[in-house]
Amino acid sequence: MLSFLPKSYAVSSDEELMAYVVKGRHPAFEELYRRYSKPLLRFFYRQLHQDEEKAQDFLQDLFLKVIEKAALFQRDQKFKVWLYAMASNMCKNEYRKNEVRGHQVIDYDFTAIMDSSSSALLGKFDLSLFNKMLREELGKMDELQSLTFAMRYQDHLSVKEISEIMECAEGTVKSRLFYTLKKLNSGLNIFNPYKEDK
Amino acid sequence: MDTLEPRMESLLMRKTFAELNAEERIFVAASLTEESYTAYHLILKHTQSDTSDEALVPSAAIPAKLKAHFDAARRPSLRVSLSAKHLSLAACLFVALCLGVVFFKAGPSARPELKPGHVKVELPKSKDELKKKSINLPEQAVLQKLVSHTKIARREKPGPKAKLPVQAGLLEKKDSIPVVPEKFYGLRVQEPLLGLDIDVNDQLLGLRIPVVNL
Repeated sequence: MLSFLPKSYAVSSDEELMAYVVKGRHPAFEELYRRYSKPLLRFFYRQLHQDEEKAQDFLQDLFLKVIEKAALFQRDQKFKVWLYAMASNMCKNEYRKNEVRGHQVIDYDFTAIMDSSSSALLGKFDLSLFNKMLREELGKMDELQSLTFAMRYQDHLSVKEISEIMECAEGTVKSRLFYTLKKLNSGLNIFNPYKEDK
Repeated sequence: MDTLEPRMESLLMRKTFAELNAEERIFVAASLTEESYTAYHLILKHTQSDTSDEALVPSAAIPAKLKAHFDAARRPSLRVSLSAKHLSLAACLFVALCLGVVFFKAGPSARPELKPGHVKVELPKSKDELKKKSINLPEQAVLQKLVSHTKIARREKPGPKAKLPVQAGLLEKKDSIPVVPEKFYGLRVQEPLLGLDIDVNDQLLGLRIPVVNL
């Protein structure tokens, strides 16, 4: 009803916007892009070894897929889950390609960092260094674990949403999160104040 | 501990070990040491608050490319959405229409024959011509037919009195009437014309036989 009135897409849910996208309403698509382009760019950036150019390409490809596959979107589905599932599949495909091409993960030179940033050695917490090392540690991990961890603590998706995206049980997600945390702890042990004390 | 359960995760994200109350400490101590709790808390806290990639902005060229693709892919006015069901229905209708056109264009001669045999009769065009071109049928046969129809007519609806003697005369001779040949079965005598102008019309044989003044 009252379809002649201008639509306020900003207050519509993601799923309603997708219904408008299927009908060919470009402003609805623009609104979805506005909502998700930035978090997804960051997601790609983190998952693709901080390669910004590649992250921008992936972001564009992802939204092209949204246009092309809009008709396949089911209204009872959550748009966020659908979008992140496509994004994580794109990352997984990229990882596979890199495996075939013999891509090498850059090994982090801890010694150089320790030398250049004496703050860590002095027991002071250097946040930027910590974040840098955290990203590197995540980059070295199994892709599924890394993706799960990033989606949970960087993209703030719920365990349920991640289980739907990754098509696995919620228990599997929780297990991956715990083992990722454990591995990160061993990699980032230099920041552990207890270690400094010992 | 093999999984990160929601309660533990919530504590790790929100509180340092020192901030935990007694109950929470008991809960945490059941699966983690103070050292591991502090290390996990540090990782989760800083992972969540990592704003190092906040400066990243999507390229300005992307929206324009997406709009062009959107317009090409989902232009509503030009978009025709036909399902397989609609297409198959349209195909069926088209085939049926084609068959109908072929059948009727071919004309009656091409249609399947329903007649038992061919009898070529030139049908008269006017009533006068009809009278002239009356077909000579064997008299007895026509008589037989006439008698049978007269009998029926008398039973159901008696005809005019003036014509009864003629019909009665015919009825007297009924025993001597020969059996009608099979080819005349189906002949129909129109009642109002009894005794005057009998229009014998055999639709099956395609015959239209006017019998005048019997």
